[in-house]
Amino acid sequence: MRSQRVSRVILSGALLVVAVTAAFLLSMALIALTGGSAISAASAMLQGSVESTASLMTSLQRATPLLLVAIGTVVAGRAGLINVGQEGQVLVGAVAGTAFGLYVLGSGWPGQVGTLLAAALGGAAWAGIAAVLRTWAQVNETVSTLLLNFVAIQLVYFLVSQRYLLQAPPGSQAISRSLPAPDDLPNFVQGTGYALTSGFIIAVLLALVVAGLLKRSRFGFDLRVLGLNEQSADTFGIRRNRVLITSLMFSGATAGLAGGVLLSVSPGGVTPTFSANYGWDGLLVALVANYQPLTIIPVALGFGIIRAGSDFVVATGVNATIAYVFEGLIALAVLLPAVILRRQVWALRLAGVTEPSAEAPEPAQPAASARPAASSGGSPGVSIPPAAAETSRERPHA
Amino acid sequence: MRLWHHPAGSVPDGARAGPELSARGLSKRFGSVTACSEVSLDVAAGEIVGLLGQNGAGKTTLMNIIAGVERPDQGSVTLGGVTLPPGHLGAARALGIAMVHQEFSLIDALTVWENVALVRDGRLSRRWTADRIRHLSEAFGLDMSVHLDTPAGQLSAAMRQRVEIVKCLVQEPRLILLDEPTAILSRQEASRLFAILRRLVRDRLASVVVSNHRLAEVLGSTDRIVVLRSGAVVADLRTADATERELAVQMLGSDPPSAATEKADTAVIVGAAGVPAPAPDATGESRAESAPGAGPGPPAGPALEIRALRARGARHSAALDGLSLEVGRGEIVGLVGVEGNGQAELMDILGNRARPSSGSLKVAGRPFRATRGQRLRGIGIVPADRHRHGCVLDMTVAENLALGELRQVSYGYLVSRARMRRRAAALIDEYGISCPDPGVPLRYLSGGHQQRVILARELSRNPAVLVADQPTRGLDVAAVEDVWGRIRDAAGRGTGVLLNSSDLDEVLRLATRVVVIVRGQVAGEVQPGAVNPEALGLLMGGAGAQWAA
Repeated sequence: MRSQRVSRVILSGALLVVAVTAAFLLSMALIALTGGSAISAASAMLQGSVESTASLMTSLQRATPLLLVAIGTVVAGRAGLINVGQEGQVLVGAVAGTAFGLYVLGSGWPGQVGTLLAAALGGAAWAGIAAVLRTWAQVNETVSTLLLNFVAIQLVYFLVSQRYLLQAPPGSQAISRSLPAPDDLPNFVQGTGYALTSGFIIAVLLALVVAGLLKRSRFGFDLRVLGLNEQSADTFGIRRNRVLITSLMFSGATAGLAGGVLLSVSPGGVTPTFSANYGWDGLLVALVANYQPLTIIPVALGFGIIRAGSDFVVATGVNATIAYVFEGLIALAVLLPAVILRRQVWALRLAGVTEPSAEAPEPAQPAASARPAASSGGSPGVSIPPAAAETSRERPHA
Repeated sequence: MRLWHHPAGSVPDGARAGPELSARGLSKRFGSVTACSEVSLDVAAGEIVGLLGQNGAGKTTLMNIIAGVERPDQGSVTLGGVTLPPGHLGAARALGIAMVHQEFSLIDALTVWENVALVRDGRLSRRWTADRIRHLSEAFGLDMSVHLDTPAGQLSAAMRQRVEIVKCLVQEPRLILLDEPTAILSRQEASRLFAILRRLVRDRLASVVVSNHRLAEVLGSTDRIVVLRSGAVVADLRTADATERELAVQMLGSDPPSAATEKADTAVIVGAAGVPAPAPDATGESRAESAPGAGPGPPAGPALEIRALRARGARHSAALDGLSLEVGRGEIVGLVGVEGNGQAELMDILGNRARPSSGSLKVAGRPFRATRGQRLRGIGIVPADRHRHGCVLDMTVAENLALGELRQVSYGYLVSRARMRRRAAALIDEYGISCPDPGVPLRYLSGGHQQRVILARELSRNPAVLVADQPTRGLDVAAVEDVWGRIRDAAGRGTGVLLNSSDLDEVLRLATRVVVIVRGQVAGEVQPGAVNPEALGLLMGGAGAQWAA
């Protein structure tokens, strides 16, 4: 048993190295094909992400909203909910934070904290719509959160193009007034030419706390039960609706918080495209980490590095779309070993090693191990529920 | 595909030299587990072979290999002289092998006819399929009185299985493999199934391999019996030469525990009439304790009191129609009836999965508070669909033992890992649960031990009443014995037990009182010691209480 596990880890490690190398080479080939210099792109990639302290800080900065979004996604995912509305929740969070900063309290640390809280509340409220629809009317949360993304864009467009609401001075397009500088988060590390806001620290601490609560708290226990076997909830007296609403709204809250953190990272006002795919990429982080609350920390860092690096590559003149392709390929490469290994595990289960007893079909596969593939280019993830494969015992392996 | 166009099969009788199916030296390992080792099996045309063995003996794997679901590590399978490519489902199907899996492969969202049509390549005609279904059900006496546009998800278990069989027959197979087909059937339904199989081998000269772990059924329905133990064939004999005791010994590998033989002795061979009298020790002992107030619990009120319970019917079964029932302390009340007479609804209500529309329920004198989000006090539930309602397969054994009992292993808001492990270790020890570590996912335990985990958890709550719904369904002999023992012990400690089981033997052996349910009402009551099988049958068929013994 143990030796099997060890060999699996080694195998997955080897697969990972091979896949990532392949993705990297493929990206370089693409850059060369489109007329760029693969070598200089590669060095720009490193320069922009890890070479200096300043670039490392940029990577951490980029990782922060991804990590925040992923935390909530993990919580919802463990409860069996597939939230794909992070992009909209980030956006609504950013706008809510801006509104707070502009109209309620605009300076000092109470203003900073208030802005973040307002952002979190905004995201939670946006996700709350889907949560209520799900518990009251059994509307599939994947559908509702997805569609609410589009509504969020229009809502923000409206808010930031009305003079009497949030729009910046006349002549400007759909963009909000920006928050006064003192409303930015305090820097955690401050050096010449670089800085890291405390947002990163908040995100990591939150990830650790959430990981602990998921594992150890009674609520976390109930949440996992619900995610793994929703139908057993009544037998064990789990308040299904309460857990579902709380976890989906929490997911919205962390996404909104990510939007609030983005306010101080990218100043200059909120636009309908302000969320810049941070929501989608944060979802991707959670998926790549297979909904493991601690794994999202390194994965978010990795994606932060890729984001920072590809921004820099774009600055050297390489087509921006190639940078997106690179991100997508890396994500696929990271997912691949897990998928291959999972197939093996399934093969064992399908073969009936444990000879499940007569009457009960396998329970629906939890979302925790759902493996949707989401492209980082901004299109919604396509989820392939593995339940069908799991329940059918006569699925041929060929 | 058209293999039995002519009633006698595609090959004339005498032309077949040697066996129809010949499996040679099949071996299959899953990691460190050997599922099959060097298994050989011959089946002649027109023969029904019973595969007998406990859970984990390798029956399912062997059938999966023959059906092409599983690729063997070694060995080969030939059908009618043609060697099958290993692990090729399509080839096996094309050659005429059809399998009915233990866990059905019907697609819930599709209708009956769509499910049947699925197995025929390229044809999706309702009329044609309906025609075939009618034809087959007439030819084999299969009761398909169901609307063909009903989604499969709404069918009762027995009907699902019939659809599954039709699905098989539509393929006009030469060889049918059935994996534990009777696990979910009542005895009458099982004997009907075997009658159909008998007709199939007689009229079409098809061959049948059927796995089972009920000795009596295997003896009553097969031509030859092959006993598997730990992945190897330990006996291969003609049914006519076999005895229950011998088979039980072969199956278990030593002298069987009492349940195996008792069950075999008393079980009714399929098709034969007569209900056995239960062993005197079991009922005598528990009946003594069923006297009011005899249990150690507080004497006030019965363990479970149901008054005029009404509920709307889910699926197509009868609703509860003013059902009243009482379970005293220390009493084991067996609920019997033909499937679909309200048992499922009653079990759903007691299991907190459904609400009654009217009527009252009291547990130990306290009103039963059917609220969501609250573990019901004083009531232990062993659900029929244990994987769905009784446990979380992907959580650990320790976590499953703590389900619904989190307060007991928590300090305030936080769950204590140490307390959870201690509780698990104690229960694992007390209930003889075999698992390498409490941190193992429940999924990796055998069915019998999964059920022990559920029983351990439910009984550890010291419930006033234990609701055991099909508590031994699909379990092997040793596990059945253990579960029965636990239920008797619980009753001995004063817990009232409501036992719902489609296994009449089980009810008659365990229960101190048997209640017959017909169309959502209690139709009558019998004492298991003095039961007149004919009367019981009539009662279950709704003939009225005057027949009760």
